Amino acid sequence: MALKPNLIRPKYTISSEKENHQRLGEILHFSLSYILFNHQLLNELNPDNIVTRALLYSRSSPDNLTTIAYSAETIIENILNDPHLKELLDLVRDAKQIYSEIEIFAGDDNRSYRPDFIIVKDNLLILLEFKLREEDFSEDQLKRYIELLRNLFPQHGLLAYLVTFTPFTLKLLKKLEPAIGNHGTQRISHISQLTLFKNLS
Amino acid sequence: MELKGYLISPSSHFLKTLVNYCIENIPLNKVSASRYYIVFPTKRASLFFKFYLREKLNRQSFIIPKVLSWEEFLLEVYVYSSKVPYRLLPDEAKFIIFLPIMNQLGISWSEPEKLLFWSAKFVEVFEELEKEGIRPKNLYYPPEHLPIQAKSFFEKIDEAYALFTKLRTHKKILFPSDLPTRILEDHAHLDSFISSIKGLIFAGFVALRKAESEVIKLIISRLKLKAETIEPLFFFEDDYPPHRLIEKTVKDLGCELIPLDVKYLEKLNDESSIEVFAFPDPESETVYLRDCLSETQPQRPDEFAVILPDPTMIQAVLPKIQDFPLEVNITLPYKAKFLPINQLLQQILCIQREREENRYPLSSISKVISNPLLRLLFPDQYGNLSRIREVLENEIKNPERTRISIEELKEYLDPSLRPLLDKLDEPLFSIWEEVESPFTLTKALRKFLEFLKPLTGGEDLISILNGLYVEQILEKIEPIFANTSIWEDISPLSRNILLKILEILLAELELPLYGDPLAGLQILGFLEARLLSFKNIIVFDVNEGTLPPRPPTNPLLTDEIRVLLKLPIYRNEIWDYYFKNLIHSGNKITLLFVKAEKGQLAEEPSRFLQKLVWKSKKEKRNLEPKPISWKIFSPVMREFIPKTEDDKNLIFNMLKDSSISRYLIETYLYCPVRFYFKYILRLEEKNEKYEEDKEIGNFFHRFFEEFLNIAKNSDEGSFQRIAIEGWWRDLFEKIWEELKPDRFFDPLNAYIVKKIALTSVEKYLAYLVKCEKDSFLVENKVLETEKVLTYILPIKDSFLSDLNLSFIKLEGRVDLLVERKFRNSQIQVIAFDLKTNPNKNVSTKIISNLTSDVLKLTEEYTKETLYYARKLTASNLKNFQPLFYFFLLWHDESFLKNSKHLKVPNAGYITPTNFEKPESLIIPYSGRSLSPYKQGEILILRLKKFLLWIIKHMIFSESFYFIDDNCAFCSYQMPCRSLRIGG
Repeated sequence: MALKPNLIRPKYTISSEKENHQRLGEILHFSLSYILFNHQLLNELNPDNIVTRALLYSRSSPDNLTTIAYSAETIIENILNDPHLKELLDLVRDAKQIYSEIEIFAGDDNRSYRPDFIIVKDNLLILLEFKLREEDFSEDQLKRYIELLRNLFPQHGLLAYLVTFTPFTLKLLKKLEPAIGNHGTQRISHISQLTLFKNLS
Repeated sequence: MELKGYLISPSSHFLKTLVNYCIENIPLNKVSASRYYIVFPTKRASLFFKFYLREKLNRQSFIIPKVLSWEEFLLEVYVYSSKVPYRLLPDEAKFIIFLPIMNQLGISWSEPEKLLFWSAKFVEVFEELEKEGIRPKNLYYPPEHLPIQAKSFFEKIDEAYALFTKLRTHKKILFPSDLPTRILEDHAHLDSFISSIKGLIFAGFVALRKAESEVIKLIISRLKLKAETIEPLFFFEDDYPPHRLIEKTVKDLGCELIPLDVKYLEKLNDESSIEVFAFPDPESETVYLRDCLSETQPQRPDEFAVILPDPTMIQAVLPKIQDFPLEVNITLPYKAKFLPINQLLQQILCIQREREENRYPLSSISKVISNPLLRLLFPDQYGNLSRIREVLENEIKNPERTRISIEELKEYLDPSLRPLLDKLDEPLFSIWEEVESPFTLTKALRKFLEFLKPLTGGEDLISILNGLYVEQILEKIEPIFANTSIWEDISPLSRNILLKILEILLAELELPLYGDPLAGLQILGFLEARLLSFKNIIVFDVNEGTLPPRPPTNPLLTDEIRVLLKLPIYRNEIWDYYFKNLIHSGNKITLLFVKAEKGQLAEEPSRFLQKLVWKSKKEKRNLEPKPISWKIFSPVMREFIPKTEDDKNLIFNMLKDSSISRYLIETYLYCPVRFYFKYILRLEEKNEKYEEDKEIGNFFHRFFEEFLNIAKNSDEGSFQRIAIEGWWRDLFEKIWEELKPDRFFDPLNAYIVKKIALTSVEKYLAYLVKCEKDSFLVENKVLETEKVLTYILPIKDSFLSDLNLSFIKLEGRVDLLVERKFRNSQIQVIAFDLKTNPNKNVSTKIISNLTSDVLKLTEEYTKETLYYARKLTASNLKNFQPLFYFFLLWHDESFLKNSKHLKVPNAGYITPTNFEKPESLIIPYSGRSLSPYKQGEILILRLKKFLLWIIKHMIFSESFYFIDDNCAFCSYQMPCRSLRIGG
């Protein structure tokens, strides 16, 4: 047996296709959160400004950074003009609070989780899961987020959406009634009929 | 609104107390908990805070508040509050922005190194001023001792700063150290950010720079305006009365210090102790640590911490504990310059500077090809790499060719070696030749990193470090060259400046090692250990210069200049505070320091340590139940380095695939550990201590080579005639002037050295003339100089044959081959080696015993048998070299066999500085009953056995043994000592 070093492993290596996707996803992830936080200033937002903010969080420069940044700006430009954004903004508009990447500690497996975006309304939590493409979506991940939120906030109903950037879509994946009703009884919700969440029960 | 500041005494566990407070005051079961910001000065403290929070809540699920380090918090504020965000570049690039301004100010240096050095120093002055929120004012009388350019800078500092900020704004570039200043300049959207805050806690801060406290005050002022008023809280770690730095911070922020409700306090265990140990050197400290760790297996992350105030000590610590089955978290800045991949890159940059057109010095290419990393990258090409190196090293001896291009080298090499060189060419040579701009440099850097990719994927520590190195280059260096705006105004931007800038950035590069997940042993830098508590703490190097550290030297930020610029002068108060808290942060604190022996270079024990001891004596009480003990630690010496299967394979492949030089075998015989460093680890031999001796040696070699070559080609090669003609004196002067071997000496010693050298040549020539005159020597013909002799030694040994080793190629370069005809008609061909050391002579007595003693060598390959074998070559192995050359010469047909006369081979030394006996031979001219040839015949049989025995020792012995002999002359003293004190 030898020494076992616990060290944060390098996040970025010499660029690969996978990493470029990851980087683009991170930029868009931040950008959409930023748009949602600043929905009241929608007309003032411009993609270049938003991407520059996103890049402040990561200083490394893949050789095609310009291309990635340009792609991100184009996608954001499209999002800003996409009718799906309105649907998304409608979810945010009358929210009590919105949260990006809150950190939830799960006692059962001693791990932390970070759902992408949470909108809190009266007795309702809306969970948004951002993905670059639909194929990046993981059912297990969403299932775990839902499980955690249900355990922590059983008195809230829950809607879970998948937001993809390319193409920009918004899909309702799951709709759950409050697990504990007014009389404190636990109710199991019905599973939505959408194919994407057929395995999420 | 009066801000509240709570003092948590160091006798309480700071983080656990804070956790208690947060559990009660933050609704962790609500999503809004994530709107509570808890900001620590370090990232490590925030990680431990979360750990205790999880532990206290005992496996419950909850929402974690936003726990950030100060740096992360500032970035978050900037990202969300700025109107026009700038691009973030590493601080290390700041000096580049200032380069064009130096031009505008008329400040210049002819040497690029100085230009870059001073630019960095000027920018540090601005940085200090910005941290204190001071706008610089021109100094009409800058200090006299400064260089004229620096004086000029201070005379125009106002204008210089204005130009600097203007350019920074124009380029829209931001540096991390400028973040507080930049937030104060642009926070148009701050209210939007403030609206996301529900609670704000600053925990564990001590001293804030002016700009930093201004940012906090700005945020506080906006929080006051919120409908739902938020009251930020401050938690300080100190007792009443607080340290003066905390008092100042409290005052700056407008805080009121109040005691924290005792219900939150989590007391540290009362039974704590401090021990102090003195060590003779840093290596012994690491051995002590190993002994401590051998009995422990930390189960919790706050159980055992090793604190390294000098982070470079990690280099010494890790090898000592690498075999322990321990989980370890390392959190400290690791200097990238220690990594072999960085050294390879530096080597590449260095040879680019030496390049002329597309030609490199042969020795430089050889150095790159010899780099051990190439062996790791091409594990199956060891033999080919060695062959390329051999070709280069042979060519180095050729005075006609000093430089070569890679294309020429490809042509010159055996075709089978070209594919390998093709693979090395682009990432190591050709792509760097194309560097003309920041863009092409980025390309070269990327190509080089791609080339190293196979070294970065593994799970072992070195692979992780290599991966982090690549990541840091991508994060901290490449963006600087990829950012076009930073370079726009720099003119001229030569490739030399670009490469020099890259070198500067690499020299400063640090890998911020960050241990996560939290488990096992913690190895921390001193600053990273702030606010943490452990059951057991060992602090290394509690010496002056390390604790407190020596401040970085900037000749432009002396106390005198600080006063002139109205900058504060810090006198280690903050370190005093940190040390005071550190010794309260564990149950068992062990402080280690290096105690200097008389005449040794080591710093005094730290002032903090002296104060601690003094205080305990003054108070006539022990600090803690256990008294401070001063013990000198004696390290256990290691006897050997175990030989791994990989090592054995490497040696075997080396013997099989490469030419085996005299030096290789001699190095093994001399000391197997030295062999290990040179041939297994491939560490370059460098001994600057004896540079002067080397110079004189080089001179003698060169002189005798040219002198004897002329003598060889001369029709009337009599030495008597040469001595009369005296042309050798002109040759002596010419070569002396060219090589300047006396350049390291002061004028008096230089004179003496030259006088001795001249007399030595004169005396040696007189010796040769005497031999001619005595008619003892009838003819003395120089056959060759710098001649390479080789011999394919067939192996019939059963052990080696089993390994499929049927032959070994032996090789040696002799300085001089001479054919001598004696009065008795005997002809000898003698391989001579030239030595400047007058005591280097052949011990004939040992040789006469060798023939019988070799037979006593057994099949045991131990340290003892190696000692015995060494003895057979006389003290300092001085007989080995002539014996080896004798062995090669005996088998060389070209000099011995093609003649009608029997020629007897012989070998020896020429020592011109030994006026009594300038030549010594393994087979003396007279004095034996046996003829020289017969003596040679017997000797050669024994020598074969002897050489094979050494080869077998290399392969079959279980370890590389330390041999304590003549270590003072060894290049590997430092790494050897470090390995040896290990037990």
